[in-house]
Amino acid sequence: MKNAWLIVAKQTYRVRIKSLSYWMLVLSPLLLVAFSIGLGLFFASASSSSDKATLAIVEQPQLTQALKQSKALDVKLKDISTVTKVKNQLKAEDIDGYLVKTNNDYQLVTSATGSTTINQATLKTILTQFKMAATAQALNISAEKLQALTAPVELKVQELNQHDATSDSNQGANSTLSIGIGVLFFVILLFYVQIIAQEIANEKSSRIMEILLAATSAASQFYGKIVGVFALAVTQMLLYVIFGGGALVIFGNNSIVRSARTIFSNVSWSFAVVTIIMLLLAIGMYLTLAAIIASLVNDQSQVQQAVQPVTYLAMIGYILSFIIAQAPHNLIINIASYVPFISQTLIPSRLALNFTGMPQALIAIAIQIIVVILMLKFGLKIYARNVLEYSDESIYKQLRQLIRRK
Amino acid sequence: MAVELQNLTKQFGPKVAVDNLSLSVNDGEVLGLIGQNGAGKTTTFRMLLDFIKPDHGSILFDGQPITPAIRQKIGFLPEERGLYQKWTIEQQMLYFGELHGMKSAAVKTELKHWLSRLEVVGKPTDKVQTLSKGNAQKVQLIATLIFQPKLLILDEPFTGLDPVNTSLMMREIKLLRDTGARIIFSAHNMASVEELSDHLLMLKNGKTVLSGETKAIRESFGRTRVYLEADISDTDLLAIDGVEAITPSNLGRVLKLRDEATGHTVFERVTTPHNYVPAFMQTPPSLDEIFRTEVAATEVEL
Repeated sequence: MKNAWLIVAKQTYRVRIKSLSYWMLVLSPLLLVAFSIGLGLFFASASSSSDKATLAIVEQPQLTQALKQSKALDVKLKDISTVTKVKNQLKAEDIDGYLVKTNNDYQLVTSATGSTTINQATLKTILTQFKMAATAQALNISAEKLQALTAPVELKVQELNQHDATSDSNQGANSTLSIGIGVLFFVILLFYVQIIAQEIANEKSSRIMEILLAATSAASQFYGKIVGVFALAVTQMLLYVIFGGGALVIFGNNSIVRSARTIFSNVSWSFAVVTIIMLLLAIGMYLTLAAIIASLVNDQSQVQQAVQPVTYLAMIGYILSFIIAQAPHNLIINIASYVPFISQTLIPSRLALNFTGMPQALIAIAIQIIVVILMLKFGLKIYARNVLEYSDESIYKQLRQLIRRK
Repeated sequence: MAVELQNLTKQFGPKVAVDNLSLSVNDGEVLGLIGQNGAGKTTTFRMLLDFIKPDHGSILFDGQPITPAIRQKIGFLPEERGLYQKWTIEQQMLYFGELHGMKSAAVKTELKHWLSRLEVVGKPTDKVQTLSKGNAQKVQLIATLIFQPKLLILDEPFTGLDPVNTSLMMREIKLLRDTGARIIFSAHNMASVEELSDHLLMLKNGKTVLSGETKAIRESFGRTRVYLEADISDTDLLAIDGVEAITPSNLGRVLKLRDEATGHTVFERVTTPHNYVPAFMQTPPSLDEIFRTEVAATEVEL
């Protein structure tokens, strides 16, 4: 005989995975990312490569050479001998502008209709350097001396950290990732807390629960629902990993993907593992809490209201994780890092910024595990006692009474 | 072998919901549970289904306590019906069937039989919310019976059913009984109890006030009722010693007698050579009457 909880979990998973709302949730962040990358690419391509401005230099082959060498100016360069030729070409829009030397100064003439621009500040810098080199040569100052004259003062900046295990770029990568995960986690959590509460409230309010409990048991229903919804959440995360990996392979040479790859390549394994474990435990914890609360609900319309405090709870950790950077060693944040329901966002953020270490993370995980186990155990009792009771009392009054009875 | 409830007691706070209840149902037997609202019927069912534990007493299925395997063969129709409104008929059946240990292929073929047998207007792929109330009731019944339960528990099965579905429900219950299943149901409607149950148990505030074979219970009250269609006035009938009351019923009247023997006197008085009598039937009081008198009697007792 198959385990009843497995049937319940499978059914929950099967029905939801076929629903449109699930795929909307899964795909909407991806579409958002794809959209913003597309937008970025569009603007990047509009001002680069094929549309590079063409700049003509009149009678200055040496300057042309210097400009080509410096590469700082992102333009196509053309060497043209006479001003008349250059004026004609500008009229014909073969070139976007020209540079001509008058006495000791330079004049830049550009077409008013041209869509592309020539960076004037860069041009000015290069021209200054070019002029300085020419003047130095005239004054018989060697290249080395000139360099010594013009060398800027170097200001070295060094931050001293308690833990120097992770490198600087590592830190940046980890903290970017932890904030990203924090946001994504919050959205995912809200969705699955809703789902499990709706599932249970629907079965309770439509009185299907009695039929289900007659065939199985409260434990099978409770654990089956949690496992089923948990699997949905894990599926969503795996889909993102797969999509992300696919994007890396397909658009491997794109500049945005490249920069994303450099970020990820700096993520340390221990950080990733701690974050994933804590997030999974937190999802389990929140789902269990939502299931317990939903067992007290009488009908569907109360679900939204009932799970609201759960979402507030999730929000605390979410908001605190943003404050960390400002107040890293705040006592409250320090303590909150060990509090289940909050720790899943605080520990990864603090770990990323080197404000805490692995031992603390492991303690937080251990506390999470204990809380999940306790919740699953005592949650079942509350669930079993209430899932067939239809009380007129408010949900939180019921909860208080239950706790007092214990 | 049987389902046995022995000395069950369940208390909620100061209120005794079920008080020292004992009953047993053998293979192929139907037990009717009668009582007003709050008499303890639903609590009894909930203990039987292991939703709640009794404070005292035991429940045995073929001599052993409930196990997941036993549970799988229990069909339960709750008083308040419920189906997944947004699922199709087939989806529900597959899920309920799987929970009761059926293979999905078996569920699909069985479902087709049931839908045509109960004349459900709708396809397996129809969503429940599109069905009419009567058809949804039939689907609910199918969900309870499709896996051939060994024990069937029905809480007020006839409440809210139209006459067609009532007789369908009766028919299916009898068919299942004939396969050897045990059936326990509760009802307000005495006619259904009388027609279906071999045994009955009457509850009043958690206490058992009547228990036994339906026929025996009725007979125990004596044949103190006479249904009569005859050309004779009420005054003449009431003049007979032992006739206590007369109430009109259908085409004739029902006479309440002090004892069975009075029936003979009435018979002799009405069957004169020139007086044709289309109907004379001496019976025990109906279950409905017994229900009322018993409930009233214990009310005084309490």
